[in-house]
Amino acid sequence: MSELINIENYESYYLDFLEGNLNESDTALLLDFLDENPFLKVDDSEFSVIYPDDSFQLDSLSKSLLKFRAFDQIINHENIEYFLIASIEKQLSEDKTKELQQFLVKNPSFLIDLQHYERAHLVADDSIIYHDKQKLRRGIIIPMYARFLAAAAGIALFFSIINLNQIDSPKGLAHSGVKNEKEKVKTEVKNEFPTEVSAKNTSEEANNVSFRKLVSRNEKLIENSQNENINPLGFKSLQKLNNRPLLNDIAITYIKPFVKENLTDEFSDNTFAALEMKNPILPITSRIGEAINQQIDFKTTKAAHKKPGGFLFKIGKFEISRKVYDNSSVALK
Amino acid sequence: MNSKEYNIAVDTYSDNVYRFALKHLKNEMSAKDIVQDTFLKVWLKHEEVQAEKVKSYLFTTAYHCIIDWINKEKRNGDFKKVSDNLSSPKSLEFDVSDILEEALNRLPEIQKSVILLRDYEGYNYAEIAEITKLNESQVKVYIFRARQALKVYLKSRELVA
Repeated sequence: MSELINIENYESYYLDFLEGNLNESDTALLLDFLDENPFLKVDDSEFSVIYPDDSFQLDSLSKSLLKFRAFDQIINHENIEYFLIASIEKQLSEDKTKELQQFLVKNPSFLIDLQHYERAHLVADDSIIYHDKQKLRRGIIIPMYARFLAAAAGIALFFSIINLNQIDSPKGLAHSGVKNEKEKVKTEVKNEFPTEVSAKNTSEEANNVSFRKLVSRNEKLIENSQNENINPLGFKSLQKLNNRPLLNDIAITYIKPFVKENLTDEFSDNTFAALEMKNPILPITSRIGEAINQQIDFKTTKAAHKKPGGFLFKIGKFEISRKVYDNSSVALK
Repeated sequence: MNSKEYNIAVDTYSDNVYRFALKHLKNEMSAKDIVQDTFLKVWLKHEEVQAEKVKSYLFTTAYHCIIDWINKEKRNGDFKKVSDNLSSPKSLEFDVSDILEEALNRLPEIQKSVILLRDYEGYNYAEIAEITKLNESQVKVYIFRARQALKVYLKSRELVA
């Protein structure tokens, strides 16, 4: 070149210098120029980009992975890593597995590598457990709620049917274990209805007279009750009672329908509202109530001495309850 | 997949997904979040997912949740710090599982994913390719490289010990 090196042409000199093609005189000129203009010098790190180090070579595994049908190669020192891993990965055919075994017999130093590959297999730690599985669950899974509600409804229905039968049937009443309470009610009825007559193990004639009076009284009561809009359930049973044949051996006692107005003080003081009742399945009833958008209540209490027990089951406006007085009295609302 | 099958999948695979996430993230809370997100996403699509393919679907979803999480944390500059702390050797005492844990933490994320799916869950290359949206050749390359890296690290630690 041997021309004056300047900012316009120094790059061509520089490239020749880096490639080793610059003669001594031009090299001296270039170095002088670079000393005068140090900002034009190329860093050593940039040299490596231009002249890559020979030590940076693609490893044998990478080369094997790049090859097409690498498994078909003959196993040698260059590709042994590839076949060792393939063996661990169970990718080798039977022939290649035998070839690898033969190679390892001839070159036992690679057995250690094979052992390392076998040990480098990851094993899941089973002690690591996700504890919040319940939060992940989906769908309506309330079989216990449904069962509880169904059981409660079934029990309530069962008792309601039994109690209806007892009210309908004077015999049922006689056999329902209410003998202790019967006298109290009878006294109360007599006081309130002076013309009431009770027949008890008397003659047939006396029974007939008493019963006719009772029937007459019932008819008046039905008329009055229709005007006063009192619970028709009880009167329906009284209407049925009118048509029943006279019985000699049964103590027939007129019992007023179980409406609040006719309860004795003891009864009225012990209404369900006055009782300390608890809902044993409050979460269930509240949840189901929310689900069907209806108020649901289920309360129970145990009967104690002079204190009634029973249950109250309510869905919206529908309400059913059972009251027990020392196991001797049952009232159905 | 109905709700019953979904709940069976919860019982069967939630631990696996949790371990997979925990190995990547090294953070229990984040791993639990990944499990929650994964199952939520699967639930939202449960009518489209076949019960017999739910495991693959779960791991695909979990994998992408993890990648998203890592990218987000990297943007915030938090993930490298956590990873570096966990991957630094704690002692020279030789324990294969600990050393492999360290080696695993040094792997690039994609290699870590494929090797975990391979060793923990026993997936084949095609299944891993489906989960990671790679092709089978790429999966094979990543698994081979990961195996070599684990072996080299294990060997080097044995020499030190």
